[in-house]
Amino acid sequence: MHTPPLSRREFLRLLALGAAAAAVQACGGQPTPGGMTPAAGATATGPQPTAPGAAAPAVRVTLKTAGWPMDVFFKNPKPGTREAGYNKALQQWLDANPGVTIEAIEFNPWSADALRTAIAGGTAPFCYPIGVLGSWNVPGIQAANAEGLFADITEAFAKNGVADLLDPKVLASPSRWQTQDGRIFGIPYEIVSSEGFFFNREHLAEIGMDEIPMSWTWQDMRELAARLTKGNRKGLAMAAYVLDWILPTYGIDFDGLVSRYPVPGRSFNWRWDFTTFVDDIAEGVALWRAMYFEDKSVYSDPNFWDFSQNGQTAAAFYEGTASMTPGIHLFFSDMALKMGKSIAEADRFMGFVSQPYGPLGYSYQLPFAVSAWGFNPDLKPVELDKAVSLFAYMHLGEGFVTTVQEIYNVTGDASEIVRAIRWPFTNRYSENVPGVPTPLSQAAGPNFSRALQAIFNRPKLPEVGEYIPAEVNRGPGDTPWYDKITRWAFTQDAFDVKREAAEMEDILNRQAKTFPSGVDENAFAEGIRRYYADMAAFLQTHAPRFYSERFLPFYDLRIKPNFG
Amino acid sequence: MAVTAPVAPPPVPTAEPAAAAPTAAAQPAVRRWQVWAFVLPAILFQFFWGWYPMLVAIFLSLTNAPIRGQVTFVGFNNYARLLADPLVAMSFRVTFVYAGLGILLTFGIPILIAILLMEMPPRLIRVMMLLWFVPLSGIASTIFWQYMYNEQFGILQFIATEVLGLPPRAFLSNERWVIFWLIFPGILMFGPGLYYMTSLQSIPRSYFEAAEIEGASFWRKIWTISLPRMRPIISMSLIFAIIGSMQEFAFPDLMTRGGPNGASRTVVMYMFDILNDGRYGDATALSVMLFAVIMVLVLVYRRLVTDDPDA
Repeated sequence: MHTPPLSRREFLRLLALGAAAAAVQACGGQPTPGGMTPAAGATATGPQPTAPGAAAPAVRVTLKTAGWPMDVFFKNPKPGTREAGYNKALQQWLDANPGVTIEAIEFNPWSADALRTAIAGGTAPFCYPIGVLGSWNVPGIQAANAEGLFADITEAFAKNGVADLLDPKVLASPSRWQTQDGRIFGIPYEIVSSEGFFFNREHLAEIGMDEIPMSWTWQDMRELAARLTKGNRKGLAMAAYVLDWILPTYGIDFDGLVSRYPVPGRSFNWRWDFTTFVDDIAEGVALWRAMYFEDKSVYSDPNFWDFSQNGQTAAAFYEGTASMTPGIHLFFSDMALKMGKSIAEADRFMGFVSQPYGPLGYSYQLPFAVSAWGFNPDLKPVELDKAVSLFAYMHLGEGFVTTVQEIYNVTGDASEIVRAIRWPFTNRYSENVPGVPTPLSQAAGPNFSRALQAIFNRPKLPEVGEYIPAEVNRGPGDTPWYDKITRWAFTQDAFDVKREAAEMEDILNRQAKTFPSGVDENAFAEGIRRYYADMAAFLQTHAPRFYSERFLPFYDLRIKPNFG
Repeated sequence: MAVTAPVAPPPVPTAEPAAAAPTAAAQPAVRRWQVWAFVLPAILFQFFWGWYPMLVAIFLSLTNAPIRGQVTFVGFNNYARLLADPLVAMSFRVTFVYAGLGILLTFGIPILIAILLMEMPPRLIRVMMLLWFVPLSGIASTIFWQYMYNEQFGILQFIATEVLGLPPRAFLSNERWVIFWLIFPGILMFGPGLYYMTSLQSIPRSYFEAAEIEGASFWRKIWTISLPRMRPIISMSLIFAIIGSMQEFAFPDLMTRGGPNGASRTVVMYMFDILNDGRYGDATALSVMLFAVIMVLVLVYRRLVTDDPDA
């Protein structure tokens, strides 16, 4: 195939046909400063290069930021708040880095298409969440990195000593911010535990329970939801993606362990099989429909899509019209704020439990994963160095300590730290912060801390993205999967799961054949062999029934013939 | 600046020789410059916001369209991939049904209502025009309708089960009816009703009085006076409605995300799905395909329908 030596930007310039640069600029939607962040001004600047007495700056750097978590100065923050501490910390960093200006731009980095467009157009902020561009999973993140969407920060990372600032557990989970050969493209910012459910302790007590055991299954969930349903109150408020939570515990998913398999060759390297274990799909669908239509123990709707502390399901939970709602542990402090409760009150009001297991003891959930922030690949080395330095200082290092100390020094309450900043952190201060005598695990609420500890200590499932090369040609999207699971969850028409599962399989496999593969065949095969070997070992130990009744038959049918 | 004189005087003097318009060649250069000065902003605007993106889209649809790095020409591979994708055909089918049903229900009914309203007392006409013109936020009304359609607690379900005594209805989760329920709010809140009423008000009253003297019935007056006089506005609104409904996105995306089972996923929604998968080449190819389909529809429409009521 002919590959002209023409970059995308060169091509766009050519197409502009010499049009006036000003006109192009006007049409390009250059972000305007200010407005997005609660900033005193549009920019935050250190000592001016020519200011008398100021150290002569080595560089002049402007870093454009789209707001949280890299804001410019907050306007008139109340003492004792995160914002006040942040301002102090930012000023410290700017004083130590003369010549650097931080400029606020109006931009939403949480929109994947907006972010891609901004990167293509050279208008992206200096840092943005990696998961947005990588569908929040390892293969997607690695593919986005292979596409060049994140700067290689290996040198800046080492120069600024970022590794020393990270929690050892975070440092040991590099799949979402490092390549397999150790190049670094992101800085860990938040710990993302498994998905789970928040539950109302008072409602649970009504049926004589204190806690929901972490080992529960979806069948347990059904019984519990039914028992918690009372009058206008539903046992569970759940979003429309519910089957995307239930079926994966059977190993069935768009990228499920026993519903997707690798194939060798030059075309896209994955195919789908939704028919071999279609009875499992039927069972999972039947379980949900029994909860929704028969038990009437769930508050849900086809247009509930929120997965946050702000959606309809969370609102029902706050109001007490639902006893459980889906979420991740990161929402805990946000939910406390939302309900106007202190951390201690929130800890007494609600508990958190990880997702239920499947009937054969399998769970696809990761106990411990890291959400990282990547950096604009257009930054020059000197800008990248300052960007990494700033981010690390504010969120992992001394700046973080300054921020937290401001909160504690004014309020005298360590739980206010947890209320203001999602806990636990990726840095080394999740337990003890200099100048704060109370351990944060205690301040975060004993129930919540205990639940998190139990989740974090669960064994980690091997992730395929850690074994195979990054595939830039991503292949079919998950649209057919969502088509089916939303239909199966809510339709009141008669339907045949077996026929429709076969239809979904056919659509995806027909799509897959039209995509080329961009990875080396041998490297892919080698990675696949290692992945399934590790997975087999993991399942033998931690989910033996699933291993013998599902994984082995699948392996013999789909993996062994090509990669055995 | 020199002014070119006519080569020869007109052979027959006219009644107003001094008012004879100069030929194009005779226009002073400064005048031509002024004409271009007025036209140029429109041309530039159209170029940068219309033609240029279209040209780029057509070109990108023939490439791998990477976000960064080298552009690689892939010929018609993107189009071939889309034509082999069953979901593309499905989304076009949904779009045609959505557009057809939408135009039928939200376009025809307001014409009838506008005509009937004109027979009402002027005070009622003013109230209706006000209601039609109430500025409603699209997102706000979408959220409102989400609650209306909620199958457990929605008002429509309450009316169906508690007031009418019907069994519980599936609104947005019924594949056969989902498009109707998505279009339904548009029937109640369709803006062009205002245009129709304005158009009707501009028809001289004497036309109707003459028709009444001749003994024309109510329907006869509608058929021979109202509808022909409304034709320019109907024609313009219809062409916008065709283009707009073929590009339907926001309302179904917010209400159903294309579900259930893709039964409400339009072409633009699928394009957005593909974009979110990072497949820019495929997405632009799909946009070019949609552009071609709309263009054909518009050309056919222009051949079949004229704006002039006297034509």
